[in-house]
Amino acid sequence: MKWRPRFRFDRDFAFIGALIVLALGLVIGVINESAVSDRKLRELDTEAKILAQSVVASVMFSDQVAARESALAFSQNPEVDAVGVYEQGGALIASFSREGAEALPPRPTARASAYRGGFLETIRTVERDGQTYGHVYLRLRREPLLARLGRYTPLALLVLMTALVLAVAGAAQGALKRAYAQLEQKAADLEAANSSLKGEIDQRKSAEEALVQSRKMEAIGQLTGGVAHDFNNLLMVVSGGLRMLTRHDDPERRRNIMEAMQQAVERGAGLTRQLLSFARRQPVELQTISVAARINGMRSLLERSLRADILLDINIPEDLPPVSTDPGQLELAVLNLCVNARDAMQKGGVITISARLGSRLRTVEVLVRDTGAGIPPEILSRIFEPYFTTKPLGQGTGLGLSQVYGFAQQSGGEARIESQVGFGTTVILSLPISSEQLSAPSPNPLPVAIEDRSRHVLVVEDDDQVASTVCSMFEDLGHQTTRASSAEEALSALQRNHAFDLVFSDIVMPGGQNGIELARELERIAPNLPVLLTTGYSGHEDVDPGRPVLRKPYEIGDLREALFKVLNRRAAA
Amino acid sequence: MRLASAIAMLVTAALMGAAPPARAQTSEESVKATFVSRFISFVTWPPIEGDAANAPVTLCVIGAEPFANELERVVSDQRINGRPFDVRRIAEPASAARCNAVYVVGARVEDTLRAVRGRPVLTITDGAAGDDARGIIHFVIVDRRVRFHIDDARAAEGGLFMSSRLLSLGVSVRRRPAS
Ligand SMILES: Nc1ncnc2c1ncn2[C@@H]1O[C@H](COP(=O)(O)OP(=O)(O)OP(=O)(O)O)[C@@H](O)[C@H]1O
Ligand SMILES: [Mg+2]
Repeated sequence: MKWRPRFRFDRDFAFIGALIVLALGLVIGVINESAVSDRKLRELDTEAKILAQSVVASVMFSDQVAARESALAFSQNPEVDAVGVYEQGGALIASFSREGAEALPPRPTARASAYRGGFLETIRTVERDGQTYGHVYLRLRREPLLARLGRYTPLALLVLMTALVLAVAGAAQGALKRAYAQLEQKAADLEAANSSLKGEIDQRKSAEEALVQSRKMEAIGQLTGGVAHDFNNLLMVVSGGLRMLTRHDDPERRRNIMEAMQQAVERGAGLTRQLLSFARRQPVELQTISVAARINGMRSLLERSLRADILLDINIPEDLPPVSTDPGQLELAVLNLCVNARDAMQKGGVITISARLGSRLRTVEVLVRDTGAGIPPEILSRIFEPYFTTKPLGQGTGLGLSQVYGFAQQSGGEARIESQVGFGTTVILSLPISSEQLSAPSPNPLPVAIEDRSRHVLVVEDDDQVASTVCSMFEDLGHQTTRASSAEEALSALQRNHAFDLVFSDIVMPGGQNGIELARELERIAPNLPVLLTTGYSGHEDVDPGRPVLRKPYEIGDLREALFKVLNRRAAA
Repeated sequence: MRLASAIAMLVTAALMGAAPPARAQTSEESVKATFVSRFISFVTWPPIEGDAANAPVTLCVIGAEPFANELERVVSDQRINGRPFDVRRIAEPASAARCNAVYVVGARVEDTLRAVRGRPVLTITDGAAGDDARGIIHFVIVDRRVRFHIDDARAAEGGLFMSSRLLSLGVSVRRRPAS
């Protein structure tokens, strides 16, 4: 508020200005008054001159009547107080004076016009042709003070008005300054309001973030709910199947039931994988695979996921180079893309899955094309966003394409989308060509043949039921098993018996060492003993690189394959 | 303010201002002489060829020796617009034609008036002296004061112009015909 003292000054300035104007008015009045007095004197001179001229003949010829007439003529002027006409000898030959007026001077001597008391008076010679013949005396009343003051009324008013205007202007200036101060205050308030608004915006932002988080949680909740529902259905198929198996002896019938049960279990496995993937906890497990083999192998799964009015056309050249990617994630991505395509084709259509050498060097492109509704340009940029969905609540989580995108990135490739509204959509997955040869032949149909020789497997599993299932699977594969329910038990079993060919251990076990720690211990004490870990969880980042992990749930084929790999690696080493 | 009672005294006083102190005695004659000298200020003569700007004003007197003396005394040191006065006593009325003004009384009034008729001569006659014939200016006594009649028509005949200030003082004024 540095203007405050100035504000004072301005008001004083207005006051001083008003004073100056008043003083000026006074000075002007005085000057004017003296000018008026001078003029009055000159007027008096003129009047006297006229009088002298009008009486010159009367004086020269001593005509008192005529002189008196002239004098009376002057009395018409109300300002005239007295008139006197004198002959050369000083004798008064004519005069006029108002009632109560002062007596005329007895002996005139010419003198300059002057003020005397409330009067102006003059004495002038009466001349003709250079000769002096007498004198005239003229006395005027001075204008009364009031009248004179009255003459200054307009001036005085003007001055007063000006002074008033100045004063008002000063006050107005003050008011203006005050208003300005208020404005400044308001500006400050506004600033404060602005900063509090900013604070609110920040709060709101965090609230929105919380909302996003809660939406995420909600989505996950929905997903979980959906998965639970699906699982219930699957479990119903399995439990119903088991019950039927006990009642039916017909082998054909039993095979059908078992096939249905097998499918249900497969779907359950897929669902679990999807769930884990959504939770983004599935680590990528890069393998060198053949795209053609992998996707062709998905056909029955995909067809089951689609509707009858949708034709699936898988057309992948067999001679494409192998790619380096996570096969489970690839399958999931293809599944997600097909489900999206299905949802986009409410009146049926064709899904074409193809592959080709990518335009980018050393890539293979997998294309999933549909003949569906297409994606409007305005949302095209958002569809890869997690949780972005146009589907009604409970039907879409918006995580499908997010998985596709994330998977492509993690594989070192990319995902892009081309779409035309009304014609269809193509999603292109670009995956890097592997520098390695195919690591394993594509799994063949289940010849549950006993490969090479029978092995002795130490199964470490805390859950009795799982343990018995796993043991029977190994037995089905022609192997012999010993069960340990903890890492300690396993170690003591190994100490007692050195004839184990393989340790098959669950990672998560209650208390004591877990599977990973056990594997490390075994590495130390029995480096030549192969260890295969298994888990139902993802995210075991501390698993030593290169150590194979079999993910639950698995089928006997998966187990056989994993077993084969582990034993062969050992053999090669 | 009534002055009638003091007229004589005033007249005397007026004349005393102009009169030398040596002649304390005031008379009708001296008033008339003063008036004659003063009439000159109110009369304009037609320009006369060869007349110098400061040529003396010729005042002629016929048949009034004491008046001539009085007039001489009155104008002795007077000047009118720088011109001095020249008082002449003449006998022949015909000679009056060469005067600027002529004061005539007695037997030769009419002859004189006839002689200068139509000439630029200010003729002054005197009723107070008992003459009836009137010149351009004709003295009379009114309320014991010297006054005069003015015959502007006669003045016009001689080409003279009488000032309106003088005309306004005439007891009577015979107007000149409108030109
Ligand atoms: N092939 C397609 N044709 C038309 N629109 C598509 C296609 N694929 C995706 N979309 C649009 O992109 C949105 C996001 O797809 P995304 O797969 O990420 O989630 P979602 O399918 O809605 O839900 P979720 O896959 O989790 O069940 C979809 O809601 C849909 O509007
Ligand atoms: Mg989807």
